[in-house]
Amino acid sequence: MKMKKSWIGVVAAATLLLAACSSGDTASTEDTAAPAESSAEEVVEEAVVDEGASGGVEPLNIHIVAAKTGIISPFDIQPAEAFTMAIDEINAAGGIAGQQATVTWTDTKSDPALTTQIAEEAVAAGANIIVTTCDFDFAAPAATVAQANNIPALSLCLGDRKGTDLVTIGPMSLSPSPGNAFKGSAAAEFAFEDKGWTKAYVLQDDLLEYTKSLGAYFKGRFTELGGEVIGEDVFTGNEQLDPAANVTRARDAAKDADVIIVPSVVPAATTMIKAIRDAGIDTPIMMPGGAVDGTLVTGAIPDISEFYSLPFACMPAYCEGDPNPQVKVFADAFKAKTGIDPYLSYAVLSYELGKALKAAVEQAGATDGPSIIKAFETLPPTDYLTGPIAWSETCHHTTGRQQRVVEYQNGKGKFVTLITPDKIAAVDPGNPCEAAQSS
Amino acid sequence: MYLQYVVDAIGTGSLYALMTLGLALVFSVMGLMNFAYGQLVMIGGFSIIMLRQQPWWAIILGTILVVVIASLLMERLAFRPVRAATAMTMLITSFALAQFLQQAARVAFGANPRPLEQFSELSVQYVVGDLFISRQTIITVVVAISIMLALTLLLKKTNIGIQLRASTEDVDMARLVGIKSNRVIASAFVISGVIAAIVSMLFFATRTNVSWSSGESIVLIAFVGAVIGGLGSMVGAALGGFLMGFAYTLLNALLPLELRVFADAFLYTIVIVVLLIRPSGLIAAKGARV
Amino acid sequence: MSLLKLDQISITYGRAVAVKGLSIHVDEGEFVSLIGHNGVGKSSTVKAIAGVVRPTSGSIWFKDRDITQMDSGDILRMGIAVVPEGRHIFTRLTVRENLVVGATISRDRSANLKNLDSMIDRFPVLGKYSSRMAGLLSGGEQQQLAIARALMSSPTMLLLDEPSLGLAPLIVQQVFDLLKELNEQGVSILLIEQNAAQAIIASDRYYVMRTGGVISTEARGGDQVDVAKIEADYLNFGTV
Repeated sequence: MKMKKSWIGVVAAATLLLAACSSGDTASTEDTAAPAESSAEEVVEEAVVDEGASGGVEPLNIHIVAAKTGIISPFDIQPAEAFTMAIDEINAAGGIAGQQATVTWTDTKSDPALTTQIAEEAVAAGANIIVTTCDFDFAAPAATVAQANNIPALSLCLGDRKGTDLVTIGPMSLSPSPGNAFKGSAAAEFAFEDKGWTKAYVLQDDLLEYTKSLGAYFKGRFTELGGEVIGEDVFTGNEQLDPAANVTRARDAAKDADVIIVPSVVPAATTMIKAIRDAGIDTPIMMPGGAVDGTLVTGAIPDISEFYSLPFACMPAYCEGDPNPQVKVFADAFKAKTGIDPYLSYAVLSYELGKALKAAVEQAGATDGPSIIKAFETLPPTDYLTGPIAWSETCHHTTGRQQRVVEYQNGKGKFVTLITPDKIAAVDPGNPCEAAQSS
Repeated sequence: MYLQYVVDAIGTGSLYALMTLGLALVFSVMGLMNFAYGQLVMIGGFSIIMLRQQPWWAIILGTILVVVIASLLMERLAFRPVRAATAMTMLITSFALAQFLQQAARVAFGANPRPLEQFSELSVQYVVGDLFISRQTIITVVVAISIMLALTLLLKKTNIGIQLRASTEDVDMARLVGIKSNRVIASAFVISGVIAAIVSMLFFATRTNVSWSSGESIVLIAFVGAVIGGLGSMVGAALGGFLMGFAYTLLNALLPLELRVFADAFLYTIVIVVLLIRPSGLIAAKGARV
Repeated sequence: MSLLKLDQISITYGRAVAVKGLSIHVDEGEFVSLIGHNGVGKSSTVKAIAGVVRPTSGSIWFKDRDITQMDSGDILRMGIAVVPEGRHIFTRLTVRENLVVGATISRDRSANLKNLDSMIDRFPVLGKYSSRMAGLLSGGEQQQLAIARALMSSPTMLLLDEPSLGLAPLIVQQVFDLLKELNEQGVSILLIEQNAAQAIIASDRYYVMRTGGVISTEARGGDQVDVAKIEADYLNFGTV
């Protein structure tokens, strides 16, 4: 329904975008003529199904199993829309290997049990790609179903390594996010090397695996570099959060800190940051990731200062100066499609995922799960929007991503620098991306 | 520093006491645990966002007006038709209403938390010796005490107050002396709405967002506060709510780092222990019906 | 002509028949008792008159108006005040507040205050404890309060359900004396009692109800009655 309604807008946006943008998605249909790694069996099968079709590839039947409602929906809605936008653009430009892809998005209501059911229905409906949500706990049920059916489980923006470590769920899971290890480590390198901060106070939100692992990797890399964590505190960032005790403690304990690290998510994060500032604590605050960012921050704390975040792009609605002009083109097209500015940077990840999916399927020349995943692993580093990224056999998060650092002063976000960490903190021996992402 | 925690805890406790009062009042008058009460606070939050650019008095009056109207509509459209039904029916009605209002708010205001521009006037800090006291805390405590005094006066000195208390104790007898239960119950919803509106202003002034799900945790706190205070007793409700907030903040303050994230679990363990020792709450109301 | 008239009323709860075809009447200024054992439907009759339950058939008339379907509040406004079984005073209200609540239907503040003063004259103990929680009063004092509260609405008729229940004999005597006194001052009374002897002595007329709610007899009360005989008859009827 949603897709139909905005169809005209999509076409308009796609045309606009294609006119302006020629990098990244120029792969033409000729490339798909040679199915590189498909087995003979699959070729035969395709021939039966797709006789007379332009390429040797089945039309992609993509099912988004993500939340339109419930607790995780704020992180799912825009990425799912951006992913759909990428596929719409691809279809408008001739499709994937000449085939029009279809996208179906069913609301999981942020309910894991319902997520399993919807994923099973998607498989029954012939899905050959399942797109899962941005949080491990909510994506795992769908990814498990996909894995059991050998269907790629592509997450919109999942950052927890358990979602992509090839073991917990299995090798069919993959995410456009560089992962929390990457972000936490990047934040630590920026803090220690670029800013010269040596003493950090970590105010940890234990609400999600996401927030906990960001904090752990920040601390790991920061201490590896020689920084000191001079104090730690913890809170649970649900809606009944009462920041009073944490702030009182921070007043003393964070007195000598160069930076207060708050790995959290909105809305709790802004409530905590506001409480810290209200208490007269002016120490720089940093979120070692991209979830506390954008208009969710500037709308709530219009005069926010000395706040740093690490998003994937510096979105023009709230941030000035992204070095890549394509980001603005994307943001404008997104607004034209949905009527809303991207309020976080996550939408760029799933947009890139959509573009990379086309490249992977066309490289594979096949639509069976293992072939698509194999192709993702072997795609050369490509700039789909924000900078060159690639996946590898060992790491199903992206490597090489240029994380943005954004600085907020007087309620305005400003691009500071691009950062790709030199080394991933050696915190988690089970992290297969540690070697792949360390340069 | 410990004294500072006590100041923090008093602020939170006062807010929770108010939250609990609004829920307990309606319960004691008509035996209805109104789980949609949290949604009144949520509605208050959204009306603050809508009125954010107006002068402060307009925000206050407008929010009270909006929430009171919502509360009265709730009573008239949802609860009056089922008033003669069992307590279970009313409870289920209130759950359904809470769900409906949440979903309506999600449709109207979107799935994302809506940023609420902070009130910088409220974040002024006063330093007293070693203590930091924010204007917000002072206002919360003063408003909570004023509301409790006003409610006490209203209940003790006005006819409608006496009728409310009579209905609270024995609704059938109240009818036999000619008290109009429609009027009394509607006025309980008005008072409950005023309190919910004030709670929403005090609560969201420390938050930075309002979302369609904002009411859930509030009604939970109020419900547990009312139960440990003693259902049906106003003093008990205020005390129960206060202790909930007080204990929660102190647990957050005093538990060691490794245990701090379990503050909720500790709090509810204490609640269970209290209820095991005093099953009808700290201040049990005579003749309270559950 | 009758002040209150119950015409063939029946009351059923689900399948249980509490009252079946009951017809009684109370004339203006009369003191009438309705006696019978526990469970014969006396309380249901009170509730029907007070508008708390609806008869399944039959009609109730007061001052020549059909009050069968009226609300309790309107019936009170018509002039019937109820002193329910178990008194049901508001224990968490003060004595004075109980009296104030009794005058809910009247908006005339000065009349209410005058009424309040006269209650305190009549019941000195209520004046003495006027700011005390009513729950702290003794049983007899609570019964006085319940009656005084009913009188606060200046009723034409008092409807009392078992006012002697749970009271010491001496106090019971006081309550009956009070009712007689009120009756002499012009308040019509319908008294529902298990305590047959005293009720019959006090009243002008009495009805006996037995199981199923059928009236078995009607007789004159007054000073000259042979209590022993009536008790025997009453018990006899009660055990049929």
